[in-house]
Amino acid sequence: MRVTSVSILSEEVEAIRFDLRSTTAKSQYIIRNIAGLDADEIIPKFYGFSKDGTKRFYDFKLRQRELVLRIVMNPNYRLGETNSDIRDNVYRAISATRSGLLDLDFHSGGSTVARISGHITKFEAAYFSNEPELQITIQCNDPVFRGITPVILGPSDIPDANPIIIADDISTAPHGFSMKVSITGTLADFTIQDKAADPEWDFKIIPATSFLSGDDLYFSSEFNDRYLYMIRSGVTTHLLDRIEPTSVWPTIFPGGSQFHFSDIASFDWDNIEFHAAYWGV
Amino acid sequence: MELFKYNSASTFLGGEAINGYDSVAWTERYREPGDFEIVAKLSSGLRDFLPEGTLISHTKTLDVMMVENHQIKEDTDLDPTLTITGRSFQCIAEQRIVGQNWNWASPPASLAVSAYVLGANFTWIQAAELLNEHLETGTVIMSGDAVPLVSADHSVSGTGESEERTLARGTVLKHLLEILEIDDLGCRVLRRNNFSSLPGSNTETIFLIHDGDDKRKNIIFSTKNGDIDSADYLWSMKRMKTSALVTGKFVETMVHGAETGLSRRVMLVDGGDLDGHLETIPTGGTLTAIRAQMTIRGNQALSAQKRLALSRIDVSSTPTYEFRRDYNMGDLVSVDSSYGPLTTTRVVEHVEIVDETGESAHPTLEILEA
Repeated sequence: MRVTSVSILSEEVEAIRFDLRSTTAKSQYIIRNIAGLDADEIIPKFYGFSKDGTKRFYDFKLRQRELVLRIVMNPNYRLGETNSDIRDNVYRAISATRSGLLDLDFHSGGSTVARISGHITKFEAAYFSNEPELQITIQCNDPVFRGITPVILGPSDIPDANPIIIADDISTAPHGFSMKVSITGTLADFTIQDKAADPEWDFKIIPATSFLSGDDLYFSSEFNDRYLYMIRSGVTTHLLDRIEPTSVWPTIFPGGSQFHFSDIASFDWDNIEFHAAYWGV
Repeated sequence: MELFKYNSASTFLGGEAINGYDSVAWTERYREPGDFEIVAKLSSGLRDFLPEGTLISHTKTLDVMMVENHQIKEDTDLDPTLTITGRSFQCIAEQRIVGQNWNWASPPASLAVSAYVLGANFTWIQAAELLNEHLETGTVIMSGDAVPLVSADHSVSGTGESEERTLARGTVLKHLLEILEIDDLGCRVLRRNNFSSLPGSNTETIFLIHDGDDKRKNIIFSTKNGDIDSADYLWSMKRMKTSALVTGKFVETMVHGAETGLSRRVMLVDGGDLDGHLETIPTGGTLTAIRAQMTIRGNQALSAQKRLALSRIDVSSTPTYEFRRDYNMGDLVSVDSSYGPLTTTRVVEHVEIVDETGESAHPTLEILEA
């Protein structure tokens, strides 16, 4: 991932921005180092076998990420700024809102490519040095860097026939996705699998009574925002209890993934959405 | 493992995803109710999302558990944490008392405290009957006692001891566990489902009395294959008894095993509930009946013992066999340990843990024979 600048935001309001390519005398803050941007320790966890029992599936996880930013303060003395003034700006960012959550946005030129969120857990200031520095530590519950703007595929972007190939050339880590479909026929089940025949995995929803024409089905396998429900005649029915226990949740891998949907002629696409994900910067 | 809560607990439909927790420990057990622990930040909102009494499950299991406790821990150094705990749905049987199944709205004038008797039958049939008489719609006498869309059944075949059982007042769960222990049976919850490859019903949730499947020939956990990370075995005769002295208020009965001399080891069994309601020393037919009940009680206590006091086998995190796919709770499986021949074990517990490092799971196997 190419990154040219980093900014710290509180409730979408930018508090500090660091330029990584060049610093000028006007730069209030100069970043010395950001530790914790790499993937560090990746933990493989076995979670199941393929349907024929020949392959083991592993999930790869990172521990909670801790980012440590070393910042040099560079007040504009001609404008009357002091170290104290611009240090206070950073202090204010610790808890400028009730959530106290900060976003670290990584920019490439004019576009924001990834974001990670967390709380400041440590603030260290070197008060009596020639080059006044700050060191802040940000604890991030979700260790994966994620794209801000979702990739949205509309009905015209998704074919009506299998296989459905979702390309993702920007992510470096696997991630979930969300989708909405409108059912147009009667379906006893709704199944997603990796291949047309002899699939290695499948994800099968068997409702108490069949899906009917007019039902809208909503699905998400996004991190910390998983859901599965349908809306029939304005009534929402959650369906996690109707997922066959051997099911494997569909995931999009870096480069893209291929899915086969059962009875694909019996529903219309509304959209498929996902956020790119990155192990590190 | 994706946790969900039932939005409609009365119908066991509407499983809504539970998001925002930091860790989960989900433990299923063969006989005793399983339990769970969800740890989350107080700010997750899960306290409101999962109020006490909520029924939850996860997508890989048919078990259902009930939220029973919320605990908030505040520490000056840490974000307040919320710990939500509960037990398997069998715990509902703790809220029913053996003997409550009367028409209390219009009891007969002569209704006195009377023994609750399960007619002579196999233990698995008696266990299901005990549950149904206190929980099942149409079987309970007071309709308010019933839990809608819940019933008990069994999947045990074969024969066993068939005898009448007199139960003292106490929770249905306590007596259920006592009955299950006699023939080493378990109790599973099968949530309402229509999964073709799995047991259960599409119309109701079932308490299934079972004894697992015999998979000793196909499932062999082996130290040589790296299936076992560690194992501890302890055989003990310390608590093993061979005779029982059953003692009540007025009556005592000795139940002798075949062992004598050095091998005779006597236990004391409480039978106070069998004659505690009497005001005078019983005679005649009453005495004979109480002695017969005490003999049954003594035999039950003797047969419920196990030679093994302790065993623990930790199965590798990358096992050859997968729980629920290759074997299930209560199944008999083999362990090929390095100390001796193949050992028969029963899967008595399975723990699944989700935390920041992902999911992990391991079963606990209990050795059945020396």
